[in-house]
Amino acid sequence: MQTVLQAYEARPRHTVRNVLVASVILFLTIWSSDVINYPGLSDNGIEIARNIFRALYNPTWSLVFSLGVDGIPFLMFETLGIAFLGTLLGALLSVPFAFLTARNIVGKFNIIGNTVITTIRSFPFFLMALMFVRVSGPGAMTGVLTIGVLSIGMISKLYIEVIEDIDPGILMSLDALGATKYQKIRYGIIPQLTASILSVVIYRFEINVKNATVLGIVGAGGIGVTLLTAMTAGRWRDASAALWGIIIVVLVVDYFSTKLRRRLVNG
Amino acid sequence: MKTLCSKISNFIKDLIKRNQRYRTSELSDGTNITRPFSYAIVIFSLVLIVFIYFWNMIITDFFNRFGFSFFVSRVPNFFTIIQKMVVQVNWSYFSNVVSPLVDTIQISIIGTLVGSLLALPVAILASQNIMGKSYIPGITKFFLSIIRTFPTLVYALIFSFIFGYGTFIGVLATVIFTFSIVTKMLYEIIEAIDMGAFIAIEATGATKLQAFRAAVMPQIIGRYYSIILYNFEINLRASAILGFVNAGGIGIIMNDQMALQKYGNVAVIVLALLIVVIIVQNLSQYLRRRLS
Repeated sequence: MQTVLQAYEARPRHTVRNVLVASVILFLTIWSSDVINYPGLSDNGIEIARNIFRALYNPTWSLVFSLGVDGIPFLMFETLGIAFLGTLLGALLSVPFAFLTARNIVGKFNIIGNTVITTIRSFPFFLMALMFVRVSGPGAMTGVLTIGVLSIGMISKLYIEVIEDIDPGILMSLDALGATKYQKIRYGIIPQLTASILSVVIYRFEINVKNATVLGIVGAGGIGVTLLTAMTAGRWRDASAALWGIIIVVLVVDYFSTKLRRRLVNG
Repeated sequence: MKTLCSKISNFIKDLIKRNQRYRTSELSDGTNITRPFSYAIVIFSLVLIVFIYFWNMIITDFFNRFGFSFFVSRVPNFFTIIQKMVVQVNWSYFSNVVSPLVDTIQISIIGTLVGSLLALPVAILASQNIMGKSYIPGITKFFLSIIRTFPTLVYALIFSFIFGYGTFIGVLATVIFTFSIVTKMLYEIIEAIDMGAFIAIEATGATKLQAFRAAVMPQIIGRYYSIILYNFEINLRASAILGFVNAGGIGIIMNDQMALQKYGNVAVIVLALLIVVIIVQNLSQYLRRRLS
């Protein structure tokens, strides 16, 4: 018993480190707490909040089930389409970026490519949408272009990783077997890539669906347009129909994406 | 309907059987080997159908309405904006950027801290292995997955109608978003831990909460910190655009200057934001590497 107590007393405590971390966190909290300046409710804030909650379990059913261009199903399909085509565009555009940035291809010049990719990765995506609105006008096409360009950041980063650690041993052994160039690519390179590339593209698609739901706020198509116009006009039941559309589609995409990626990783 | 379904399934089975003959080859010692049927072709054609459907719905529709030449003639607009951003860059605007940028950072700090503090108790409620056989984890997880479907911006949009405008909305939206994400990551970690110590401490007569504190906390605390840091990164990027719905931060001036077509000022805003994001990203990556 004595030795147990002695060991317990002699346990590592990290007092200095803990105090330091705690004081940093405390300082940050106090420093940033001045953004919580409660502005008070807007003119009829409580009534609006009550209306929103009431509308949540009573959306405009005619919108939810209508199959027309204004119906929620069509808008959600459009949102999915923006994310789908955008992800494909991003996956295509990433190829040249990746080859121009991989260290084993361009050597030390990869710093240029890296800078471009990092910029795209942290570029505010509403700004990108506003820039593309000037090209293709408000509509779903703008959403596709925006999401396509923004997806480059994440997808090309993965391509680079894949290109940089391709296993050359497999190619050499295929060479030794007398494989042709096509056979080397088909049996030596593609099997190494498919699983990881597909799983990242699917993951990016999942993120893009969420981004596409809000892109409409700056006029880039999808369900966001309906959500914003319904809310500004005070049509809470229409807005709640749009919110339910988002919930259902994101849940379905989430479920299938997780399932697919798990299967891809486990082989 | 039923006969049609069975006809289709018979047709597919027949197709697979016929296909099998091509994939069977005879080795020199007389044994037959069959290559397993690959679903790649089925999946590929499904994706192709989806692709054609979406292509018709969005791209073809766009070109039908506006024409291809119209689109091509306006592509340079995009590069003109970038060119203007580079050429007309207006460094003196930087003094106007500082205060909204600090607001953005503060929103994400306080939002991340409060959100992740709220997440810990709810994550315990959502873990199957801590709560035992109970319906609470299932219900909690269901609600969490619904909260998680909305991006930060949708929450900010809703709150902006209730509270007017200001950084408070941004903080509230960030708190809810962080809460939903951190809780999910946390209960996934808690459900995967080694339960031996927890059961042993419970057997000595400790309550569930005491046992959690003594046996589970030491196992998850490091990863909890790294989740918080990771979320801080996400929140910083997300809160940069919160200003588009009047929720404070750098998004407000970004929206204004873009509407005024002062691309030189926009360039300064983007550059300042970019530098902060990159610094935070590297700092958090360094700290997370230290933690693991």
